[in-house]
Amino acid sequence: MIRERIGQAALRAYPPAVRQARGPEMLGMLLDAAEQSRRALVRESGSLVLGGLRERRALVARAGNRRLVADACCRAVLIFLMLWLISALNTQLIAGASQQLLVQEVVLAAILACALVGYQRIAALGGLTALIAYGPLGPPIQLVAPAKVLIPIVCLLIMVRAPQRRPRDPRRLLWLLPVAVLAAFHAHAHVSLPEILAVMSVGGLLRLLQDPRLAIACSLVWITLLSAYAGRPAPAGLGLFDLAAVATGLMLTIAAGPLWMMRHRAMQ
Amino acid sequence: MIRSNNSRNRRAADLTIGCLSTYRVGVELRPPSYFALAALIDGPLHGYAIAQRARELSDGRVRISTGTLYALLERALAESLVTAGEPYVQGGRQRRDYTLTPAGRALLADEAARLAHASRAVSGRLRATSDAVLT
Repeated sequence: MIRERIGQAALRAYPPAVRQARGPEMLGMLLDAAEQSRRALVRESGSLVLGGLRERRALVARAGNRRLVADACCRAVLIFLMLWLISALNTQLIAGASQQLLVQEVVLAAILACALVGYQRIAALGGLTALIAYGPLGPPIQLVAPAKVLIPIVCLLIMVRAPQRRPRDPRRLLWLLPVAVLAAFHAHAHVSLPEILAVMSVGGLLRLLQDPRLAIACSLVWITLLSAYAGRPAPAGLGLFDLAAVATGLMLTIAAGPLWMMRHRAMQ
Repeated sequence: MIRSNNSRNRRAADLTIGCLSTYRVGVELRPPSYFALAALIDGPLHGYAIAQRARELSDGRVRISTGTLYALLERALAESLVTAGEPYVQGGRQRRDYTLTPAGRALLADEAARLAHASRAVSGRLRATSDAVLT
C-alpha cells in the first residue's frame, strides 16, 4: 500500500494527460520492479519523477517560443493583478475602508478570479478597463505614468490576443487563498511587494529547467515594479539584506528566461 | 546520444528528450532502445517483461527503469515501430502488451547489421595489429 502511494506520488510528475493514459500501467511496472527491494523502489520512483519532468519539459518545448512568451505574459498579468489586489487591500487597512477602495478590490478580485478560472480574454479586457479607471492612466493623467504601466498594458493586450490554452477549471480559485495570506503578511508583517515577488521568483527559478514561463513572467513584473519605485525611497521594511536578496532574485530571474530560450534555440 | 549521418537527422537527434530520439532508418539506437525493441522480437510483452527481457539479452548490462521505458515506448509508438494492445489486468496490476511492427523489425535489423559491421572492422584491425604491438 505504501509502495503504491509512493508510486502514485512519483507519477504526479507527469502531465495529467500522460498520467491518465499510461499511469496505471506505469504504476504496475513500478510495483513489479519494487518487489525486489526497497532500493529498487527508490530507483524506480526516481526514474518516474525524472521521466515526468522530462515529459513536461518536452511539452513546453513543443509549444514553441511564441506560445511560451505569450503564456509568460499571461502569467505576468496574473502576478500584476495579485500584487495590485494585495496593495489595494493594504491601502484599505492603512487608510481605512472607503467605498471607492472596496469597489476597486471587488473589481480586481473578480478580474483575477476570471483569469484564474480561464476566462482570460474577459479578464484582460477588465484589466485594461481597471487600469484606466483606477491605475495611473486614470484621471488626473500624468505624462510619466503610462511608461510605468507599459509592460502590464502589453501583457494585457497579449492576453486578449493569445490567452493561455488550458481548460477552464474553477479549482484554480484556490489561488486566491495565498493572495489573502500574502495580503495579511503585507499588512501586518511589513512584507513588501518586492519580497512577495522575490518568493514567486524563487518558485519560477526552481521550475526553470522544466518550464521557464513563471521566471519570464516574474522578470516582466520585476521590471515594472522597479520602474515604479525608480526615484522613490525604498519601500518601508526593506532592509539592506532584503534588498540584496531581492536584487539577486531579480538578476537571476531576468537572466533565466532568455538563458532558457537561448538553450532551447541552440537545441533546435 | 543518437548520432546520424545528415543534418536533418542530427537535428532530430538533438531534440532528444530522454534517452531516445525520433527513430529513423540509418540512425543509431542507444543500448536501452536497442535492447527494448529487441526484447519484442520473440513476441508481444508488457512493460515489466520488456525490461526483464532487455536485461537478459544484454547479459545484465542494460537496466531499463520505468520512466525510461515508457518514454522510449511512447516514441516507438509515435514512429509506428511498436503497437500497443488493449490494457488488461493481471495479478491485480494493469498491463498492456507491446508488439514489434515490420518497421521496428527493419530498424533493428539495420542496427544489428551496423553494429556487426563496426565490430568486424575494429576486431579485424585489432587482430591485424596485435602481433606488431607484441613485438
